[in-house]
Amino acid sequence: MSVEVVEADEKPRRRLFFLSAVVIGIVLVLVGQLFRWQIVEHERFQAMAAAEHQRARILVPQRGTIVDRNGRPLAMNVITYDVSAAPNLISDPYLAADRLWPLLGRPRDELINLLTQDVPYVLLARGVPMVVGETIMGWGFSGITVEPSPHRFYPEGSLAAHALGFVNAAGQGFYGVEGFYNDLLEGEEGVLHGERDPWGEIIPIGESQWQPPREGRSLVLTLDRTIQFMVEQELAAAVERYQAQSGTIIVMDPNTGAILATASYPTYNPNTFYEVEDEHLFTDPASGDHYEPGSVFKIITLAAGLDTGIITPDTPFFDSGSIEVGGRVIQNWDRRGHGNVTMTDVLVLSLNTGAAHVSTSLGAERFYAYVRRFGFGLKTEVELAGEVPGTVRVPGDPNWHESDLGTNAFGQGLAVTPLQMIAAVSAVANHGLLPRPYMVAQIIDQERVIATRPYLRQAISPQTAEELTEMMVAVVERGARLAAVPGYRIAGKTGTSQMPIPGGYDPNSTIASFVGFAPADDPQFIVLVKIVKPTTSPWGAEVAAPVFKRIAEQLFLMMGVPPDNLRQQAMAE
Amino acid sequence: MRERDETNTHHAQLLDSPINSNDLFLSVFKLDVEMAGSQELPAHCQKTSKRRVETRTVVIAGLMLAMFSLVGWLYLTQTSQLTVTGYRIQELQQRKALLQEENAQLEAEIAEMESASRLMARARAMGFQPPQRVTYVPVPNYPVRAEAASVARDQRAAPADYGTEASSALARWWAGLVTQFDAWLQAPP
Repeated sequence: MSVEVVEADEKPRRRLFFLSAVVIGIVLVLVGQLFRWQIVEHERFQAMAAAEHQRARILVPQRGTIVDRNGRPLAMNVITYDVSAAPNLISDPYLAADRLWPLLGRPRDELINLLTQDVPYVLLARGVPMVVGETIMGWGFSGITVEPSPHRFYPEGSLAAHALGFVNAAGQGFYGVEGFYNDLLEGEEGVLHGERDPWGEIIPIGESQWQPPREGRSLVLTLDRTIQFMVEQELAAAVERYQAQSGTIIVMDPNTGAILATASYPTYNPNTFYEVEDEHLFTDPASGDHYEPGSVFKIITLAAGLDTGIITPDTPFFDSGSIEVGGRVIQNWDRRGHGNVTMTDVLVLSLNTGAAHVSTSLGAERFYAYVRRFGFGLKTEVELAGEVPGTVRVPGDPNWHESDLGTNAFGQGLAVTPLQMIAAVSAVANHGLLPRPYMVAQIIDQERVIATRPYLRQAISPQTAEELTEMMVAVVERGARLAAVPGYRIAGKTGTSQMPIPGGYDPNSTIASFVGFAPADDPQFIVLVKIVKPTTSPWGAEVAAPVFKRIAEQLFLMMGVPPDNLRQQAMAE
Repeated sequence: MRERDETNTHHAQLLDSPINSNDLFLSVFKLDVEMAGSQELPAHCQKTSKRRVETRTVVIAGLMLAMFSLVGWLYLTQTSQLTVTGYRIQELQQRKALLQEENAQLEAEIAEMESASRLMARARAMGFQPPQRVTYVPVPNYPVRAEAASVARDQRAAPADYGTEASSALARWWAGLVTQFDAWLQAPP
């Protein structure tokens, strides 16, 4: 009897114990879950909850504009529209095609094909003008979507394309100033946090936090649109006239380093950059490509000689027609000896032997010190993406050879960019002060204007610059007469360089160049002309010098520079 | 009177009995209750008083209701106006953005129409030619230096005499303009 009583008492107790354990277990699980939700994953769930009733709208800043020195727009922003369709939602694709094809400029049959496909999405047109987009939106066609899309627009088309660069569909700038100043131009995104309505729009009276976007800064370039256009026209004509492969022309203010024009051919239209097949076309040949400058570099060699005092313009030199440097025989371009000449004659006749004589007289240390002083082998720090420093081998470099001292003297065996070359010669025009080339005159940050201050440093003495200017005037008056403009004294130098190929130089290809400034006594501009692989003549004096003349004639008019006699007469009064 | 006597008797009984604090407390309580019961107002007075209380309550309730209604109405009106204004602002902002887009579009069209290549093509179509021959005519005292420097030199420091020349040129230009204007005014119609 007693056993039965015990069993009767134990069963409910066990059940109670079991039930309690289950309840406690469930409570523990719940508490554990609550702990996880409330403490451990608090932020995740808070974010999920916020996402249910809150919305963050990214406020996209306006990309800064780019204008030329006179305020003419070169790059601006427009809104275009992308037109797409959901074919499965269109009740009458034939009617839709009938109304769309005249606006979108696509054949009617093509549109019908697209609109009758069994797909949820087709793109009908990208980047249609605003008026077209708004017209289509006004129809309210079910299944047709029109979405605005910010778009970079270059109103001058291909003008100054290499200097400007372009902006891709994601709003990222590449090459030129668009690439160099992308961070400044694109600005900083803002954000609007707020409670949203059932349609996802932010409720105007709800709680909201607004961080305004920082608009992109605008750039005022040193480029002059009119000069740029003229230079591009002349370059395209020259490449065609001399049946050349390509070319580059730079116009600069030698007194400040402000680039007035920089043109390269062939070029591209940044509005349709995506159509370019060869990406190399995007690289700016003025600052991103280097070449052997040839005899133009003799200006640097003679500047070093004059500045150190080892030569004067009248220092005699006997030209036998060849000179040996480091075991290598250097000859003149005409393979002739010119007998007794002066240093001015060395420049006028473009004698390689004379230049090599000066560099060897200077010695490697002093010669390369001057090469560096003129900025070769270093980036100019111009505000263009993709600038290269060029190549200058100096003693101590593993591949430098003693003969380089001779060949470098007349611009062979080293590589420079056209921008480095024009900046270096600017020092001669500017009393020995070497300017840093620059492309951006002002950065406009809403109310604030940051102006670029020209940076100059002394490369040679003013006296050396003056003597060298006279020697370069003699070059134009006695040698490169095709560069001369009647009524003006012009200082310049021609260059004809061979193009290096694996194992030596291409015997059939040259780079014809000319660099000159005017008026010689008060330079207003300096121009570098570089024509690659001309086929009608290989010589700089016959190909590049006439191009310089045509450009200089127009620059005198555009910049209002009267002939020397009138100007000097007026100044005397 | 009889009631009053009974009360007095009861008080006397209480005073004669031995004192117990609990009893005393209960008795006093009882007495007060009884006395309160004995002080009832006449029926007509009670009615008037009740009506007065009711009227007051109704007035207070009415006032409170009116006040709450006013506050509620004000709140709703303000909220409603705020909402309407908020949506109006949103609408105006969208309109502004649209106008800005249209403005940008028009500016782009103007810039394209004024592009150098279009101008050149238009000039050629109109028969313009690049100058074949240029003749400079010396003008006494003309500020050549200031003019020549206008494009290329605006980025660098001006020479000491530049400002003087430029300002005197401006003064001369202004004087010439004033003279021309005077001549035009005095000219016969």
